[in-house]
Amino acid sequence: MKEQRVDEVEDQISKLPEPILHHFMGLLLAKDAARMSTLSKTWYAAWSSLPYLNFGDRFFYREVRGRWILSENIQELVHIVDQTLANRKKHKISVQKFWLKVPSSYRMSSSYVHNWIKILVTSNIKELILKVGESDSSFDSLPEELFVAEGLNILNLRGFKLELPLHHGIKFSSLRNLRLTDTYLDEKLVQDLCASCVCLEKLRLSCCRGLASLQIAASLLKLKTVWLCCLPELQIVDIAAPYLENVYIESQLWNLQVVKITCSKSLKTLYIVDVYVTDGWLKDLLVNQPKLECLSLSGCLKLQAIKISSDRLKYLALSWCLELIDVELETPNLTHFRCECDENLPTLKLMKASVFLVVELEFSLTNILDSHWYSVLMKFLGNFKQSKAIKLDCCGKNGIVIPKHMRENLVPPLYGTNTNWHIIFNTFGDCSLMDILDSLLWISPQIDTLTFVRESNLNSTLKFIYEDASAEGCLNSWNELFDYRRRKELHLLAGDDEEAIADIEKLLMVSLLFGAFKEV
Amino acid sequence: MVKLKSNDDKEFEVEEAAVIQSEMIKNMIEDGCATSVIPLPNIDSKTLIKVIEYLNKHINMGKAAETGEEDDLKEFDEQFVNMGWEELFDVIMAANYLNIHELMELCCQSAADRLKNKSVRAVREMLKITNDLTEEEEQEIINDAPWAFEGPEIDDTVN
Repeated sequence: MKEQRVDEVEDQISKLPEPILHHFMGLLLAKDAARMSTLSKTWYAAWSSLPYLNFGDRFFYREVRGRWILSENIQELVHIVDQTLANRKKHKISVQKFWLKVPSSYRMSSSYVHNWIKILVTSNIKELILKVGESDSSFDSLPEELFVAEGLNILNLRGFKLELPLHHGIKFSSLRNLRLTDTYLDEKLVQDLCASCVCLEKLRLSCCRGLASLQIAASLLKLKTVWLCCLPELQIVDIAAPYLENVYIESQLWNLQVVKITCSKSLKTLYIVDVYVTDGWLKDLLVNQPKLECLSLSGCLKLQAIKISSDRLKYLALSWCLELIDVELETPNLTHFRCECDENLPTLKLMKASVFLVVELEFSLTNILDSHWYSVLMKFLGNFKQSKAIKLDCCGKNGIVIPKHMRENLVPPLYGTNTNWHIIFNTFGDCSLMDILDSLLWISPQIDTLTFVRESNLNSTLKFIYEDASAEGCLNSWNELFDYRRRKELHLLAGDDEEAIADIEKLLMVSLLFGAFKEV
Repeated sequence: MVKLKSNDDKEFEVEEAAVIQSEMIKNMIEDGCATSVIPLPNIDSKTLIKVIEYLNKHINMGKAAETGEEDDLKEFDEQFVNMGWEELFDVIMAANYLNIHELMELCCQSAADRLKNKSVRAVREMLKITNDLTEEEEQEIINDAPWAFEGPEIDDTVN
């Protein structure tokens, strides 16, 4: 019986058609794939004709006590790449994907790299990932031949200087995805790229030098995604691609002065990080981009008042926009709202949001908190009565523990709702779990589930189940916890955290004692 | 609803929105060739059930994003590929035949992850591969590419 099963498995693998075997060997690093060639004749044949060569980022490096250092045998490793490419060439196997990180030209002559690129371009390469290690501030050159790789779909370069080819121009007519990191390029080159790459769908520039202004031409009809991250000289960005959907712009030290996005109402996702955009800029953008679904504004220090009214918006994040005073949202389909700030919590007016709204709040509180903080916080939380869940990460003692004297004569902000709370607990400092639980039970008396997170897998979940469905009321002070205890059953569903369990048990005991006292 | 028939003559009803994640079936429907039952002569019912489970879970990815269930989907994918090699290859073959790109990627990636850094001996045992190379042939291959067989990361354990 067992023998038969073994045969079945074996048969299956030999039966895998070569393209499938290639497909999944193409997900392995070349070293693993080459080793598999001694498994059997099928695997040997599959490796010998494998059109995807992932030498990877560490081919020229070796690990010494957890650190990756440059190998001593560069020449030997160069020879392996040379030989592998020569074998493919000899058997007329076109290399469709090539991925390699090489040492900088100080350590290894760039003539090898130039030669490989020439072979790959002749072989009609489709995906090229080529990086230069430890390049510091210098940039390696590329051979002109690269720019005539008409079959290229994906190009990912790091540490090179891109220069306009003198003889035949740029012919990236199939290029869909261009990613340049630590690369030197100038405005004229970008212009020529835009003119040539008619199929470009994604453009990503990170830490590139040489660009003071970037113009992405309206001729790029297929461009959907633009990602610009930390371009130190960049001051002006003008993106005119008409069908753009996703834009991520991160300025370095707020050096970016002008951001112009003039696509035709197609924008769906926009991330702006550390750019001095103004209230007026945002207002115009929202008017011109009615399809925006996801908006994230981070470190936008000139924003003061935001008013968004949109049926499409699903995700909104406001992070470290420290001058923000007023936020007004009429967003019936908003399912995710994220806010990160310090003591200066903006005034929020949430007129409409989805019932699936999940709220993520992260407060970094360093100053001494006064009653102003608590009253603003309660108004802020009061917006989320219809929300599905609130996730809170509050670093700073007592940020969420509403002082007892403030609770008197006030209706709890989330009275009458059964929102779920999800608390990141490990950043609460000295504040005890009991104080937080007590405060949350006051803020949100009909709370449904409360989850405390210490580390990613150590969650304690408290599930509150009504014993008497008709029971109503709220918890006005710690002393009334017994009432609460009588109405609801407190269940500890999961908890590997002994300290938290001990705390909660103590709380339960206290409440039981009070309950017993009352009943007597 | 679309009816699919496995090679062991079992019929399954799947929502059209789910089943059109298969490029093959999508084309059939668009060409009007899917009026009654679609026979799938290459797929047995056990594998087809797995594939349908995947299609149903992944139906309308946008819906998941709306209700914040993206993490669920990731978790589902992780659980989904937690299967034996034999079953995994069956699903890969089915995904290839039905042309379901995402499922193919998911399963191939899982197969690749399992083989990462594994020694030849370990892979042979895991996949129950009979070596049909002679000792001389095997040695010749190793001599041709000794770099692939050396290194502290190579893992000889079977799991």
